[in-house]
Amino acid sequence: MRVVKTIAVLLLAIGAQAATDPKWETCAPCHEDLVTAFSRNQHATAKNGCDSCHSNAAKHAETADPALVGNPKKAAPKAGEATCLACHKNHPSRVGQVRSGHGRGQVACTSCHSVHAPPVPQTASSRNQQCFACHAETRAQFARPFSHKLTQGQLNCTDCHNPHGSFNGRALASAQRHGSNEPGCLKCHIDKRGPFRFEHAPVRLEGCASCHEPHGSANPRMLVRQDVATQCLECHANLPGAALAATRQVQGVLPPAFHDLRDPFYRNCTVCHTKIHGSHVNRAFLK
Amino acid sequence: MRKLLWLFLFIPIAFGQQGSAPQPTKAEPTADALPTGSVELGYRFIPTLNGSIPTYRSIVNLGEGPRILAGEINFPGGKFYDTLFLRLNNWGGDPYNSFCLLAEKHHVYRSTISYRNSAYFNALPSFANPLGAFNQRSYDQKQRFFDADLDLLPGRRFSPFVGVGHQAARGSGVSPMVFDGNSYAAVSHVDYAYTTARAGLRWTAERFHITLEHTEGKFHDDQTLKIDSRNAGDRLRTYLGQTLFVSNGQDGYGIQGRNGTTGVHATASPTNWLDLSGQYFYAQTNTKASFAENASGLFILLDQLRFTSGIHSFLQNESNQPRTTANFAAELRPFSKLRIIESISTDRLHNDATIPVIWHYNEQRLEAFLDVTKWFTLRVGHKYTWGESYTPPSQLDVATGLERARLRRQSFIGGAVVRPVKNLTINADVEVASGDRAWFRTTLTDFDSTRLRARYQLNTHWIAAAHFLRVSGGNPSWAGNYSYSNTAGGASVQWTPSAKWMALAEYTRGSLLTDILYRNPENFGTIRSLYRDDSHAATLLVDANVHARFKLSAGGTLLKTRGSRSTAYYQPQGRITVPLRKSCELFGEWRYYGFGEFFLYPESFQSHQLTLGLRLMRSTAK
Repeated sequence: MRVVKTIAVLLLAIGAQAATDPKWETCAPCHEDLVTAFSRNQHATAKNGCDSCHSNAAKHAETADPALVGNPKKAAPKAGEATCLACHKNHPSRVGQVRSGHGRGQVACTSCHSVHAPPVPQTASSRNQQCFACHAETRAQFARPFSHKLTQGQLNCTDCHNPHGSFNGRALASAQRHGSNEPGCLKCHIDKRGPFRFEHAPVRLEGCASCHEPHGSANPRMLVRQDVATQCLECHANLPGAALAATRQVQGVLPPAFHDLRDPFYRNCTVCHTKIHGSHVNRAFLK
Repeated sequence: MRKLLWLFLFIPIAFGQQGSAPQPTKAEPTADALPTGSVELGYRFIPTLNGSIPTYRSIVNLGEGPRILAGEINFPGGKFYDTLFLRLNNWGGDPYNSFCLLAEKHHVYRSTISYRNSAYFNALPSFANPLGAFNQRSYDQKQRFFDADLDLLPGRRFSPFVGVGHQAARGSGVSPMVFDGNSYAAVSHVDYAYTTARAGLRWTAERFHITLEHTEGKFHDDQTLKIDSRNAGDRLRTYLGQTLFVSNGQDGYGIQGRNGTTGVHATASPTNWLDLSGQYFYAQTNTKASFAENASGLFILLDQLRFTSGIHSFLQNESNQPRTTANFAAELRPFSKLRIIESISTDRLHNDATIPVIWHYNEQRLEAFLDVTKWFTLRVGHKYTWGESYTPPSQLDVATGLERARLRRQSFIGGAVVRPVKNLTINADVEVASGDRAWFRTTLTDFDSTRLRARYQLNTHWIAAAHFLRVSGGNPSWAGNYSYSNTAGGASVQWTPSAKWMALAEYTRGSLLTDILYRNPENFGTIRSLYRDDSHAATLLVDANVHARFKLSAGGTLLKTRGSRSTAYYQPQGRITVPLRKSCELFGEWRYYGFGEFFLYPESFQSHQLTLGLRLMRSTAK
């Protein structure tokens, strides 16, 4: 409680130092609604007011000629990005940008960010709609019956993806990291995080997407195949070749057991191999 | 912990005012001192729900009753905040609900508190068994997610931040209790939670930025399985003439874990033609597990080949998993039209268990971006991916020790951004890869991938977009003769004739084909696994502001797939909004969910849902 009080007192002390700097007088007469909405925006603290992003704002104010004022949103993406990077160049979100698809594809900052908007969090649905505007094929995947609850507004794309790009050890450069440098999936699926005494190698080596389709699947467990047995046996392929087994160029190919696949009991491997993501108890993931 | 907190509090005081960041502006007071925003209250009716209730609950799971469907409340700026904003979604009994609170004072603090409830219900067989038998995995859980973050002095040179998170799940379900030769459906109770606390310091200067952070986490997973009546299990045949059964049994898991992660992120621009960025993480994760099992009935012990009437076991163990991740990138701009980016990353983990998993993964990438003309940027590069892993071999192959696998893949990467005319952008990405080592049989080694995306804004009323993706590849014989092909293409059109009308139509056609051979475990005969999925997905949205605030909207999505698991899923919807007063609107919404499967038609369902409600609004007085 004492700590909380101390924080409150310190925040008050720091906040009291805020100064007034009316930088909006030039633009406010014509753009009143923008300036009013802007007062709660982080960009309202920009050193030169509107001129920080809109070059020649003063000349534009004199003549009211819209062609005179610079507008990062209407500029070519590279020029628009340069305006934003004047302040945001050395920023945490830039750490992984060189590997992001958005960075390589020259997606302008203003394609996603509304610079004038108040800093209120978007709804999950509105953020998802924004992503789907370009990633239509992903919207189609989420139309499948078994998917993460994006369309119900419970999740948004940025819960799993970092649109600015991230340095990720795996192939998915846009995946969020979580906790102990773990894939973002484990933020919610915490019972799969381990470490386990007996690890199932694909979980660590290729990640969840080696077996699951996170955007949507026809399989109730969101598998990338229609049923469990097919999913498992494609890797546990039972001696696909003596040379392969001897040289061990790929893993997991040796026979898991002599199961009779004609028996429905054996068609669903996870009925027995219940701890398929990793087990603390049993090497065959039975418990 | 308290010392750490004091340290973070004093840093901003000591350094907060020394930065070169611009002076803050005092927020303009709003004209109204009362909160603004909107709240949507409604009652959902489900007049029709035909077909499989478990499937409906596994996919949709919305129920009847009164709800707070949505809420956005914006509190006017005060002494302690410039912004205080609350958002609510689906409260009052829906399976998914959330709230988010944002509080901010420019250059003093920014805080976000979010909370989500998520119900997870799944009672469907995860395999294509038309009899629907042996569905022994079902879940009925409630998951809760809480996160709170506080950034002090955001935008200043030194910005400390702290945060806490808590994720928990509790519920019941069905999970098998497995013994030699048989498995038995048992009532399962799950209770797991993960709590994290994080703190760090961000130092931002004109030419560099560094973030230091540390996260501590605690984890527990206490699952129990229980059988309290005779259960003959899933085995359809006797074992050496005896029927195996459990008369009563309990399994109890007690798993405790902790983790600590220390990380550094940095960016720097030492000159105008060079940008550097990097990241380093070290994580140490630890788990202590105990497991107790007591069961009576008739069991077979395969290692001793004898029957027994009771099984009692207790086990304890511990696992450690240090993990190191590091990345570095440099962007050089020797000429105004040329950018060269070199990046390298490494990820290593070592599970210190009885049978360990060791994994190293590395990637190096070199790319050059050339602005050939003002409207054409070309990108070419090379990516090299390599790694090594040691994993436990099959249980039948213990004598050979750890399995070793390597990954080695060379890729040509390229792309282009073309803007041939104003408002038309075409993005292309190409990767052609070839490898001679792979982790698994289904890891693609040789493949080519093409992605095209185009967007054209004809005028202020029309926007058209198209996309195409093709990934095609195969593995050579040493990696299992795996063949993979994924093609998706589609287009969308958005028409906004005026501020009152909007229409969006979108269509995507997808085709996925995988082909691989494997051996039947029983007779070692060859089986071909051919997975095919051809899909059509369409979305239509129409919004019309007919008169004043009288609004109509209609649309929905439909999906139809053919192939290994043919499915149809339709979700049309419509909504009408009628203004009652300046601050009140009446709305009615209709939704339909129709799901069907070609092979598993008993799992189909159809449901109509009606929601009637009021939207209460208050906007800023002018």
